[in-house]
Amino acid sequence: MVQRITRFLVIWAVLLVVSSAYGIDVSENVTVSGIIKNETASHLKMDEFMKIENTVQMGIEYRPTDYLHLFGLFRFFYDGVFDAEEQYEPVKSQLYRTDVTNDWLRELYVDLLSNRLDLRIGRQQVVWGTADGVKILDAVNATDMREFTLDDYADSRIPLWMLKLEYAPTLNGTAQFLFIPDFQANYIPPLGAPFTFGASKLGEQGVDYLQSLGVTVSRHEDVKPDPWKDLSDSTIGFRWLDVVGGFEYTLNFLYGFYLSGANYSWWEPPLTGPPIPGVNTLNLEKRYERIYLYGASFTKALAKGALSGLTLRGEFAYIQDVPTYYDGPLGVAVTKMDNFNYVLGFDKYLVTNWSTSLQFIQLITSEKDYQGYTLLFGPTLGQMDQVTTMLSLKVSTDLMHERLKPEVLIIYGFDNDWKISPRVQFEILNSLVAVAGVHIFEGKPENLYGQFDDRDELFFELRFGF
Amino acid sequence: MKLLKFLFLICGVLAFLTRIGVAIDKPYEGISTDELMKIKYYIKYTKFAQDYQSTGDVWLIGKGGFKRHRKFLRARIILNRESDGIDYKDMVVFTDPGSVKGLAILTWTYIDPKKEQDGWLWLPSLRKIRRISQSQADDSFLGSDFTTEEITIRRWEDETYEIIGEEKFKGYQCEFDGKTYYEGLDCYIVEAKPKRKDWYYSKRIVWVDKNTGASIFDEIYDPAGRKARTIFREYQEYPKGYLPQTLLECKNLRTGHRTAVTFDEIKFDSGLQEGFFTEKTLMRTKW
Repeated sequence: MVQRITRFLVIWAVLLVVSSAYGIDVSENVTVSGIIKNETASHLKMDEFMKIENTVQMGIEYRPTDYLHLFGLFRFFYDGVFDAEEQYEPVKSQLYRTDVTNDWLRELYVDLLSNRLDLRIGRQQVVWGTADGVKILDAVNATDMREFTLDDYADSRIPLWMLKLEYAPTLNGTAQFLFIPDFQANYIPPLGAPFTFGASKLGEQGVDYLQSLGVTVSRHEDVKPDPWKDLSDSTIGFRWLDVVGGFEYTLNFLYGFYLSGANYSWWEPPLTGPPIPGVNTLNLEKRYERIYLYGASFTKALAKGALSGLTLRGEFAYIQDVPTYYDGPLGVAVTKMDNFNYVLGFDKYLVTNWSTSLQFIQLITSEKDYQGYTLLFGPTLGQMDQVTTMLSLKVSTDLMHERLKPEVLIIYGFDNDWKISPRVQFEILNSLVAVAGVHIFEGKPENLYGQFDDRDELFFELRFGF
Repeated sequence: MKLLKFLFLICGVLAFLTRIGVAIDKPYEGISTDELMKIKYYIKYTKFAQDYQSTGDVWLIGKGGFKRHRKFLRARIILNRESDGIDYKDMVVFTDPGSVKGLAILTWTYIDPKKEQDGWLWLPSLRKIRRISQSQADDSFLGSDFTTEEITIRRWEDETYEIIGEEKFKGYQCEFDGKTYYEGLDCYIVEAKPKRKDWYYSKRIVWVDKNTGASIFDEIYDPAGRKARTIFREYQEYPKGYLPQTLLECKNLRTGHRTAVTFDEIKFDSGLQEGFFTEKTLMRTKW
């Protein structure tokens, strides 16, 4: 441990020297920039650490001409919480540092630019939509959920190798084509992690119970698409973006995969009654299945009249063939249904520099049950409503000439499911920023935020940028 | 036929003049206050040119001397286009320090003074563009001592004006670089009052250069009539008589906080295309 901390401090010191020596422009065509940060979180009861993460992120951009750019972004982190807290020791090898999920290479691409056509080839992130705190259209890249949804999306988004082509046939209209011969699933934290999903706990409890009865449980390797071997496993995306008279809209299409996967189970031989030890084997297999996403979004800033200054935005996604759990006769099973998810947002400065952003969110499943069986909510395996409605409110302001920035994001699910995240950011020096805040979860264990009701955390971040 | 040729010639000359920008009006003896202030705004938003680019530095300086620094790139294209009502488009990209590096703002400003700007904000750390509402006009502009209205929104139509005197400017002692500017410059003194009621200021006293029409110094009075802030502007004359601002200093007389902005590497009419002022360009910013 001491060696690791020493190694980290040495790296930090070297980077500081390098950054101060070179500044931001190493030469006329090369720019180096980066972040060194510590994020520490403890349980709100202050009885355990939940994160002691040190991160070094460095980006290098090379612009030999105005039309050719090369960019690389590298990130390394070490989370000391798996050393500091005994209860997390069993999952340390799966979570404690960058190379566990192979995402140290955050971005590496070549840009070929022209007035009408931009081509970006390499490992990158593509973001669709603008919603706060929820992902409706932001479905191109997978998400690392080791910290549930508490991490910044840019940090938790898992980059992909792809080709992105943007063509502007009109002044404000741009067509974006994505060809993604790569696949990365959402990273779901294992049992015993600080933010293990309720569904993982329930699943493991079920397996433990069966094994205690002497029943064999066979876990199969995940069935994942592998576009490197079979190009037909690639993901394809398209977005049209245009601004007409101040009204901005997008039309989106994604032929991709359900990135959280679906856990299938079956008995061999099929059950004729209760499972018999030594005879029946339970097989478990995670599969990543194809989905079709048809989406749209809009934003309109009202420029005149009584509502002047109000920005309206909306984001809509119709997703076909989403794997959906239900409580079947032999336990949890999977079927496919269509989902329609949308968010409507209203943004406005209310008094001078008080920015407010209100969102109305609905997640709708095409059926209310499956052949009379209750639908289950994937992250918790609790009962799922056909329509899940949420509201979110974000209020932010700034003080001391934007040195001090308080903000609060509240997300409320109509099942009395809450997440409240107040935070305050303070610019200590030009390049040194401190952030402190809390995440408070409230609700029932079967709901999205309620499952972490006992995981309220207090966090602190110190970030040096160069 | 000759008449037709003559008309074509006139049209050609007009088109040429439009492309290279229009000559800047100058104040003249007996000029009305309204005309004078129109020239002031013409200069402020560089509407004499086709396009404008510069780099810039912002220093936010506390009473005790604690300094925060920002660097930015700025580009503007002046369209003054009747078909869609767009007056000009602006792009500002922050390049330093790391905490704001890559943050970019695109705004479209309309000819109609009652129509608010359209704005897009590129958040590089999130790889995301947000449509932004125009900030409240009385809000501080990006944490500076200027208000948003003073930097980007205020139009000639927003105030009433009266020339209240003519005198030689006594000179401005700039705290940022220690130099004294424009001592003895012949100026009109204009009183500008906001048309909005119960606004954050009751009036401005503006010193306008009699030779160029550029406003060099503002005293801003709060609603109670007390002098609250001052703004100083330095200009440098460029070829074709173009007159960009090269230094701004705004002081808050109550808190002692001040903001200095310098502009460098100023270029005009370099052939910027309107296609540059789109979301596609915003997303090219890496940081």
